[in-house]
Amino acid sequence: MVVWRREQSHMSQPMILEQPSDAELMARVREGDREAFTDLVDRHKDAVVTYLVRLTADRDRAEDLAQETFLRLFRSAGDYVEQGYLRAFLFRIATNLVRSEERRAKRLRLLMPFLPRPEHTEPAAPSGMLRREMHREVSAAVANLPLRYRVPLVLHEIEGWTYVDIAQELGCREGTVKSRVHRGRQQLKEKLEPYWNGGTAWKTTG
Amino acid sequence: MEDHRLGDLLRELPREQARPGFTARVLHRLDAPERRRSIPRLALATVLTVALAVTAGLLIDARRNALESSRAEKALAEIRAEHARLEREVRELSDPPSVVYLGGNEDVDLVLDLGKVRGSEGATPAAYHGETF
Repeated sequence: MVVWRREQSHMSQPMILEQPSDAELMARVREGDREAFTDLVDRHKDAVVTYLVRLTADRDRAEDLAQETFLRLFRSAGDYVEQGYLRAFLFRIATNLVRSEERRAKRLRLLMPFLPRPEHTEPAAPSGMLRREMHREVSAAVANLPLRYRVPLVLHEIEGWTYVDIAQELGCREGTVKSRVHRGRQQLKEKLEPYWNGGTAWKTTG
Repeated sequence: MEDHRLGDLLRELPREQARPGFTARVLHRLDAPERRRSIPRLALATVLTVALAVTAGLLIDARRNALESSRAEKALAEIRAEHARLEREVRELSDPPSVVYLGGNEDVDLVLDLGKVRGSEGATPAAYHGETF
């Protein structure tokens, strides 16, 4: 952020204000500073919403879970140990929220097997919008992967994390992460193959 | 589909933006009491109904079992009594008679009381005794 300030000699000089780091903001949040918390939310909300949309393919649900993620961040600020990467901590909270929700839904389905299983689909795109249809199908296919493949696949392929970072975040070995990403890719390919036109273009539907 | 093409497809997915008012909603929820997760009412009602039906079925089954058990016990007692009576009759039939009718005439009946016959000194031919008549 750059602020221009007039000096008495009528020469303007830029004054660069540094943004406080995540670590500095979290230190203030631990003391209950709402303003610092607001800054953190504004800084990371898009990334968290994007991550949750990738995991759920449900925009409304992703927004709700993202809000819950930040609430948990505030309430657990006292337990937060500064390791220099707040976004990873937020993604971990978000992943756990998705996992809890899916487990709850699974238990409910066990009790009432006649309940329809929710299919992860986004609203139908207007006809002729090939790219949006492709995004919709890919999003739905990702969201329908088992969570143990979905999370490392999204973190690696979409968020650009390394296998080492993912392994550290998930608390497993690097080899396990590679295996899960590979299996996630295989399952995605199977789901998307009907739409793939010989490796050259996306097939139109209808 | 090659891995790199799949990766391209995934990375082409649009980045999302939080809806306007997102931060305000978070702050509002921070001040609101923590909301409980609500189980859908229909689901809850169904689960409760199923639980009640299962419990009722188990109670009815237990009551039926108790009735059948008491009937079975009564029948068993009757069988045991009948068995004891039959045992008694069989014992009576197998026990030897205590008196034997030897004969008689119009005036005298000759009856031998086996209970008074001594075992080794029971009836023996006269020649076995020392005295003769």
